[in-house]
Amino acid sequence: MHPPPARARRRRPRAFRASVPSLIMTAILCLLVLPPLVMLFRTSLVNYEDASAPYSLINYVKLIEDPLLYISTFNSVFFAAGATVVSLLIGATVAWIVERTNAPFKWLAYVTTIVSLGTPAILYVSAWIFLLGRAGPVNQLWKEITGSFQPLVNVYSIPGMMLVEGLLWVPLVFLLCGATFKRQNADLEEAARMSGGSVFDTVWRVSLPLAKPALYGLAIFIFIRNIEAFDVPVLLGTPGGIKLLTSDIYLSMTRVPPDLGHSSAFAIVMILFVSALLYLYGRVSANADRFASVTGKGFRPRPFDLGRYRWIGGFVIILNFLLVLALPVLAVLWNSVTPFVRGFSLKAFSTLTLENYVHVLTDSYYLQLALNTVFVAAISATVAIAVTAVAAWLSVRKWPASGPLNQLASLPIIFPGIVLGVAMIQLALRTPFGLYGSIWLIAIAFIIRYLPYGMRYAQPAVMQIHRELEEAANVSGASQPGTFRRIVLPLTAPALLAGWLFIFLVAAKELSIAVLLAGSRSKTVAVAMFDQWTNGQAGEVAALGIIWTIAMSCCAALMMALSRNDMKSQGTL
Amino acid sequence: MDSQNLTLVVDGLSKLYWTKSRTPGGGIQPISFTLEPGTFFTLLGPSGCGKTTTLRCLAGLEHPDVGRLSLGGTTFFDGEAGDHVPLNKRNIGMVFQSYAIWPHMTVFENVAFPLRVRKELKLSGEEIRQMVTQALTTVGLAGYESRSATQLSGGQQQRVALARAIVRKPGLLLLDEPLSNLDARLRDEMRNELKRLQKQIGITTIYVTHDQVEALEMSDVIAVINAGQVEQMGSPRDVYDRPANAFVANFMGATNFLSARLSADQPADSRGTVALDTGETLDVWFPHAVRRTDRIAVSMRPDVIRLAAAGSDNPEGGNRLTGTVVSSGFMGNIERYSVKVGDEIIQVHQAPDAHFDSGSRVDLLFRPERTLGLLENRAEVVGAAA
Ligand SMILES: Nc1ncnc2c1ncn2[C@@H]1O[C@H](COP(=O)(O)OP(=O)(O)OP(=O)(O)O)[C@@H](O)[C@H]1O
Ligand SMILES: [Mg+2]
Repeated sequence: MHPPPARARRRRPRAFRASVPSLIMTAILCLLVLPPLVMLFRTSLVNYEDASAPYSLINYVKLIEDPLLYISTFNSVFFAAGATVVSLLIGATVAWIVERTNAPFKWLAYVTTIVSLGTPAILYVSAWIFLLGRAGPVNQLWKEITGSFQPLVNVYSIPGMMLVEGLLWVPLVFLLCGATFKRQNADLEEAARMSGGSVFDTVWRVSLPLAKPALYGLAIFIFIRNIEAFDVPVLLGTPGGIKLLTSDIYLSMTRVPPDLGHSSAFAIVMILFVSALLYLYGRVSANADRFASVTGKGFRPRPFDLGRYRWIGGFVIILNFLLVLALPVLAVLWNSVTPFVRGFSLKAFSTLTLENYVHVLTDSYYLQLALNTVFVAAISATVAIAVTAVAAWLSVRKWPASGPLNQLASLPIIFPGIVLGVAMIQLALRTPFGLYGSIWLIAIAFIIRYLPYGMRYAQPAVMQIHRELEEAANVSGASQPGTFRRIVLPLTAPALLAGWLFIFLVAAKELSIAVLLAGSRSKTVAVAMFDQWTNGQAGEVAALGIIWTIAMSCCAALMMALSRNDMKSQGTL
Repeated sequence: MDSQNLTLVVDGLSKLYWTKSRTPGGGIQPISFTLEPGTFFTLLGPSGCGKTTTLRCLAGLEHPDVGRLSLGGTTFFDGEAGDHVPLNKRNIGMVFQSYAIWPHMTVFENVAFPLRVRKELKLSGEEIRQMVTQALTTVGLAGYESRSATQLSGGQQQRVALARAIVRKPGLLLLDEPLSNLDARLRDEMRNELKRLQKQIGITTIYVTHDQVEALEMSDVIAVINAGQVEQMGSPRDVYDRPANAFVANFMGATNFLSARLSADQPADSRGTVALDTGETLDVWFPHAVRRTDRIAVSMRPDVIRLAAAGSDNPEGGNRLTGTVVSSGFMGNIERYSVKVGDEIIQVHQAPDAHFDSGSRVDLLFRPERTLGLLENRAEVVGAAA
């Protein structure tokens, strides 16, 4: 209708100056994220048997010809699927009961989650090995009751691994599902009840279908995490002779001499596999919000009245507490006060001792471990949050040239921990300044690994700030850096702090990267537990685990409190 | 700097957004105006017509495509020369539609912010305190300094936003629909308050609204914008009584339109005769020049029409149409009728002393000088002449 003016679009020199911050961030992120990928790819093309040979696909050929790849892949997928079902069934059920009904004991579910978030996975695994082991209390009880000589369960089997791994992820599923259920509009359920639906009808026909897209997305996400799982495959699979993708990579790296070509090719295959899954995840979760019931101000979900089924809800929460928290922690506690590994019996009570605790608390070796761990976890959380806060701000506000920032910061999500470990070793071997075996190497690897997590917290936090709040500062005379410091940072602080604590917690218990990178002086608590467990020092592991869990649970509690406040304030900002 | 003596010159400023298919997707077509110091200038138009875009271009939040913009002697933007003063150096006060009160600061800190971030002013803590107190007193919020900004009512938040905008004595004040978030009663109150404040400070103000009552009551000059183009610019009386075309007449308040044709060109401010499409002729007033070939919309506001029983005599002379009452509604001070004339429904407001039943035949009587002959659609010629 109106002809556009001829000179409508003109590039101005201004555009370049404004894109400088984004270009700097892009450079930083590239420097962090790309080298591992490039290095991995390069090594996978090197023929280690013939150093003079040119780059070739020989490692891939060997990999594909080896039937082991298919066995491991099948095992990994089967294991991951089973574990996903376990964690989703338990986690989603408990989340629904806690968030949407009037069942009793809800606080118990939160306690379970908080303590679990702070506990290294290896501790759980060792507890379940004790509980379900051949001489463990479960099998003992079974033998005594039935008089049979066959144990009831074999924890060193794929079903056993599924169970343990599944229980490991229940707390996270609980948290993420809880967020979904919380957003559901109670009106929809009440409408179904008013139309004559029973509680079961309502859940089956309304609540579940509404949550379905989100649940699918979550299932894929947990599946990916399980494919990448390290602790259970190595601790349960390897002794049981069950080969999985991650344990294969680990074994070929710890063999003497390490088979770099093989593990790199393996790692690249795994990255491709995970990327395909992530693509699927992106497709599914893009649709997840389609059904999300929009919440306005003052929206408060009303709990569902379960009527006489209330006690069932309470029972499920208690069961979750027992399985996910109480039983493993009791097992660890028991191990920590017995002088040597033994089954649970009344006789053993007379021999109980606090010696392990005394040892852990007085030996400077353990102090060093704790310091190392806190140091790497704090450094990686700080850097990851700082980088992603700026990157998220630039990208949410669509600064010139900020396009690739989000993708770059999210890229490391395709690295399973063990794969990143392999890549970082190769990088460290090529850097001159003694990075190999130092604590800084672990810190850098953690920063890379947790950039996507940081982005996950920082981006919504920035989006939540009404744009005019920043523009008002600009118009008032503040420069862009001033606006970031005085307006954006204070307003995103609660979310960023929660993100910091989350990264701190997962970094503090991360094993799969650290186990490959740690030198003798740069061990973290999780690595030390792993070493001691494999050396049979179960008692000290347990004592260390209990002390560590208490400390980390305090951090986890703080994080949950901050995240909750943040969710509450979303409505008012 | 003295805010009293700054003339704002906007010359051919334009900013267009483009859709993916390279067609214009909103924005503002070239707009020009010059504001004497202290003018209250209003951008009025329907939602999405480009008011906020214009304001953001002035503030520097948006980079215009072309044009020139200067305040006092300072050129803020010049598309030809490529000059561009960054927005934080422009010393413009702005009140955002959402108020944009920072929730992590107290009222005092919110208002003090523009003073604190301008290091070059080298203000002492005491000076800042004085200026903030003065600004808060001006808007009637003295004593609220230590309140958290989130504990304020909508009206109070709006005042804080205003105090923040005026605290450093800006050369220009921009207000983007500052009253749209308030309830009707408060809106009325704040309207007067705002106008009083503006006169008291004497600051050139640009006000954005889509409420024509607000615009009429507050402004010295109104620019009516439609789909990115200025339809008319003038004083409230001018825009209301002598609308440039049917769009402006309609936007400035409810009115009836009848399509008509001319038999001769008409100069501005003349009286003439038009033939309605239904065949009747009317005596109308042409506030602006129109050509013989133009389609004409005859505009009569509902309150200038008098109803009388069909066939009664009409001592004052003037226009007469005959129709049938379709419906009526009692609204307290007036009675509202819908009358069917030919195929058209005409709205009429009457004092409720006489009543006409639905179905009764009535005469509609109206004076030629209140019957406006307007261009049916926009005409660039008329817009530019304003
Ligand atoms: N950043 C943008 N990108 C693309 N189009 C835009 C952008 N900002 C505004 N527009 C379009 O330009 C037009 C004018 O927008 P503007 O915000 O100026 O309207 P407005 O007159 O302030 O409306 P309202 O009264 O609803 O606030 C609209 O059609 C809008 O869709
Ligand atoms: Mg607007």
